Amino acid sequence: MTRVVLFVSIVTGMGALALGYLESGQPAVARGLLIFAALWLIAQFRNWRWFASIGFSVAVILSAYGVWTSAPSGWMLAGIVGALFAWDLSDFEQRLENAPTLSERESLERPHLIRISGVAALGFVLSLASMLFRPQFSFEWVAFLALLAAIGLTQLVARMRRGG
Amino acid sequence: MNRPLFLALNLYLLLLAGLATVSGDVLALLAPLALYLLAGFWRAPAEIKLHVRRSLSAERVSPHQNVDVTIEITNRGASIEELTVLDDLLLGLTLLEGETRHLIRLAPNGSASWTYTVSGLRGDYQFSPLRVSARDSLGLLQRTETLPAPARLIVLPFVPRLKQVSIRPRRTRVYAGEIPARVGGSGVDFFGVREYQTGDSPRRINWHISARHPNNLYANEFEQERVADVGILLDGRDRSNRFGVDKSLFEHSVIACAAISDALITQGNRLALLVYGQYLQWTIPGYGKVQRERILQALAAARPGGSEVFASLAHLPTRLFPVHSQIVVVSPLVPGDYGALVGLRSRGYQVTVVSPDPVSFELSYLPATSEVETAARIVRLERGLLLRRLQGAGIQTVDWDVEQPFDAAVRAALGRTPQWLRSIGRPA
Repeated sequence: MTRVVLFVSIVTGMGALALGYLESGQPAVARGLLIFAALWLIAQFRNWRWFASIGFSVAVILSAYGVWTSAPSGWMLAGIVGALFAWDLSDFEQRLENAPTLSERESLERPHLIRISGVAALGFVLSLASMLFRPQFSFEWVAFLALLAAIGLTQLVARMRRGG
Repeated sequence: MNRPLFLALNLYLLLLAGLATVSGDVLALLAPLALYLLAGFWRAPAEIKLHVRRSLSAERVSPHQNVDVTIEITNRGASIEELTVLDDLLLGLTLLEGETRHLIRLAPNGSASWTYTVSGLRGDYQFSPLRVSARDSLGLLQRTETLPAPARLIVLPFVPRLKQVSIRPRRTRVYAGEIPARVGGSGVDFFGVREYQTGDSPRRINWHISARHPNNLYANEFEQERVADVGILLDGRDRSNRFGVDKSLFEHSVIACAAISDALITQGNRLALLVYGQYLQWTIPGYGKVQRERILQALAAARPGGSEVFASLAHLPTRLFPVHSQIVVVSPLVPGDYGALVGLRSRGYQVTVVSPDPVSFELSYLPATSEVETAARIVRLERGLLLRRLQGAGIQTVDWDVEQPFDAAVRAALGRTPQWLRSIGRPA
């Protein structure tokens, strides 16, 4: 189950990015993305778990670049969400190897998929809403919010690394 | 890389990109990642409150016998989304069935249990604590703890049954047993003739001698049979047991030790065990089944080792063994041991050396080249000479080719001659 969803999310995420770049008139990047998606799928087949992190980072960078170069934001957003999904499931699949029985696997798979789907859907809707409504902020406000976000993130990560 | 850190780095990357490009749409891409991070933080695992129990289907087994290990876990705290439980398999044990690592989900007051099957080599295995780690459902945060679940598995050495082990210590104890005590009285073997005393059974009267002395009657005396003090010395020195990287005679020495201990304790003797290796492992003298169990458990835990202090048998603590008792030394022997063994004999101990043959042992795995054969002949000569010198000093020796059954080697060297053969003066 997890593996199927993982492959679907890789294809969807990278496909969305490729489609966005294709629509914005950058077929070379789109082709590169499709090749990269194929590599990611092969890496998953061969259990190269580290590749998921590279894939995720590539998706983050290319979606930001795509948005900046006026590629359709919706496709870019779908790409980043798909990559996040794939990155999460790749690690989850590795953790599932510790569950030797089918019942143990099933008891873990379903709640995880529900939770990650919820998080991804909510993130998608929030992002899409902010893209559609385009709230206007002055530069001072943007700088303040960015600083606040940076401090907040730093605190959060520090706390998480200490063990919650 | 740490997953929260990796995610945060990507978030920062997007944030910087958004600020640099002054693009709201780029900043909007932050939302899914930030939500994911927050969700992980929100569902971070609370304090682990687990009750763990480990039980074994048997705590005392023979080598390679299957043992079921059951782990039971009960959650006394908050719900745990993902709980990884790792039960480290001890060195020497082999997993036959099941898994030692499990990933489960535990609701409050929920419980889980599983069983795996192991078998092992001789040893005393103290199971280590379970390592558990709880994660949030997104696998971002982890809390790890070790939970004690004590259990002990003793894999006893294989004990070959010996029919008879004949020893003759100089001194015996007062209780009746099977060791000839060099004292006249009631027994089986003829010991001598003495003057008839009131109370002696008329069946004991030696009529031939009494006929020659008309004024007195004479009665036969038999040799009393009693139990004796026996000290078993197991040589655990690396220098005498180890050959090459992974070859050792120690297991054979342990088997020999177990067999002799079993035979002697069955005869009713008071037995003690000293493992002489990296340190001294002493099992105090005792009788009976309890002592047999103590000795087998000590043998299960015995390990060969190296030590500067105990490199030679010269530092053997002889005071542990009662004066004039029997000492059985189980050792492959090295040339320097001759002096120490003769020293034991000169102190009045009756010494028996049971020696697993290192030459035939090494030959069993070395390539059959002419150089090896020549070397083997030389070493065999040296060993033969050492054994002959020991015999000359009054020490009984059992030279055991470990490819052969131990029983056969002992029967040839220490087997007691049956009564009907002894009566006609024939050895066994």
